[in-house]
Amino acid sequence: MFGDHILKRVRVYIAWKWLFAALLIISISACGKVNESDEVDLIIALSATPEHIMIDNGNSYVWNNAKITINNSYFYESDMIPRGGTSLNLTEFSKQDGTAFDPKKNRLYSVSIYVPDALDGKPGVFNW
Amino acid sequence: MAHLYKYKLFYMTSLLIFLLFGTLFITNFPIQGYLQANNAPVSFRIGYFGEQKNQLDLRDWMTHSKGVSLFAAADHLFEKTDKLPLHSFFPVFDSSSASSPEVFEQNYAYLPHNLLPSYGRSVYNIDYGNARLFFLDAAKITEGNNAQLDWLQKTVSENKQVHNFVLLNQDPKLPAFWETIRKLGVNLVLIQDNVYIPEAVLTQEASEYRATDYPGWGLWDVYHQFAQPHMLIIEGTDNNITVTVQDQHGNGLDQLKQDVTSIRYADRVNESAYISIQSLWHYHPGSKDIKAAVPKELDITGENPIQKPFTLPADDWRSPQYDDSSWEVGRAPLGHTIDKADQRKIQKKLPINGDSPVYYFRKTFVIDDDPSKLSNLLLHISYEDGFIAYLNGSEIYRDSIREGIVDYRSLALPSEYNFYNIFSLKNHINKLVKGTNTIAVEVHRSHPKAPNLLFDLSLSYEK
Repeated sequence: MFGDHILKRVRVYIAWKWLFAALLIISISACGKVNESDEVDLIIALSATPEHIMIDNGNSYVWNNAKITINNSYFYESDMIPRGGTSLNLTEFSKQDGTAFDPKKNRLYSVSIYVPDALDGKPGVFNW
Repeated sequence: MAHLYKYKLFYMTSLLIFLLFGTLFITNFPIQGYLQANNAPVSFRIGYFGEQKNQLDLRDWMTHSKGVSLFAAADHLFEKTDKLPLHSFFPVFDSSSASSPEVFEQNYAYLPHNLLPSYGRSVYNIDYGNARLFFLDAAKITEGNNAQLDWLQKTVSENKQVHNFVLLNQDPKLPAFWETIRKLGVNLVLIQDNVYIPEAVLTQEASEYRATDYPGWGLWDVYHQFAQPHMLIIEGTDNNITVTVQDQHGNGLDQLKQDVTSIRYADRVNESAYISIQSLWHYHPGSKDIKAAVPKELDITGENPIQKPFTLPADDWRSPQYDDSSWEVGRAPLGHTIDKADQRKIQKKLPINGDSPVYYFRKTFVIDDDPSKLSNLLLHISYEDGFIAYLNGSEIYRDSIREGIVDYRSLALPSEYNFYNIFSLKNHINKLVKGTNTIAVEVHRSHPKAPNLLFDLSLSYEK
């Protein structure tokens, strides 16, 4: 009688343990973004000064027709971003209405890069 | 007195120390790290009259010109009056002189005679400051008659002067003549109202400056530029020459400048160099306005080597046809640094370019012989941080910078100052041509805020 009670408690303990493990596994997989097969990740190293942003293209190819967006509202387009390091003046970024980024008034807090034809016809993206 | 006698040794020693200390106040400290043997620069000022649209009264002009004590012009421009020509006037033998050579000899009896046998006073030279002026008879410079050229060559070689000027009344129109005087280091030719300058020494162009059909020579067409009466003032200080057009009131109307250091030292120090160190370079900061095409022969990823020489359009800054006349000129080493010790290595300080981490440099040089006979070609280059060099529009070497396409925004790999690294360009000898060649170099910093950029280059060869 006493042994049945202990056995039952052990089984409950094991069941809770497996449930917890399952929840853990599910939550880990839920944190990751689903890898969309129609985009490639750009390999980038970013750094900045108050007046510049330095982008290191670590891919094995040149980014053609790259569109770089900072702070979700200032844009810069380039026919070509070569491999390796490229330095861009933040004042060359502008809003759609033509307002240029002013390093004295604004600070860089987000960067996104979109390359429409990065590799094998797929677009390349990067977000920070 | 007894006191003085008692301590005479002390007072004598003190006096000696005082005297030695006092000499410090009459000695120039070697602030640059070495003593300069001669602090006073050698200078001169010459007035020259070319053909004008209006008749000039040279005698009156020369009499009232201040600061100029030597004048030259074609003989027919000087009005012969009862008064003898001024002894400060040196004529160029011309057709009017040839019609009556005896009168020429009589009018200018003070000129050197028969420096070139059988030429009398029609061909002569004078030294003034550190310049030597050669007055030639252009009508007798013909194919087959090299007497004046041989004499010129002999005179230039013996007892060398810093500056060598040639004055003639007309262009002999012999390419061999122009090639010979360029090789001799002649740095100024005056023909009527035209000023011919070797492109290698030009540091500031005049408004009407243009290239000529004679390789390595440019022309300032003063006659067509100015309608009003004018005089050329040729001023020299050490290695520098300034040619200024002045009106009768002494106002400067236009000028050009040259520096002969590169041809002077190339001749003495490094006779096997097409380009010596500390040469003059055209330079420009990197900019999206400076065009750089993407050659089809180039693999922009850099994964594959360059298989064929580039074919660049004329408006590409690396092209031999590119017009860099609007670029600044400076003497190498060029660059900028915050290190005070390294600042002393820089001859031309470049402004820090906040818009681009790149500076572009260009230079032309002339090869007289067949370059295919060279056994080796060597690039000696000082740089920080990275560079790419092009010869006649084709890439020949790069270091400390990523392979593949680069542009005016590209960053180099971080690198310490590279002091005259030597790279063999043996495989690129076929890119040289007989005649004018162009070398173009882009130097990149590794960071837009990097304080150091440095460049100097020498191109030497072995036969």
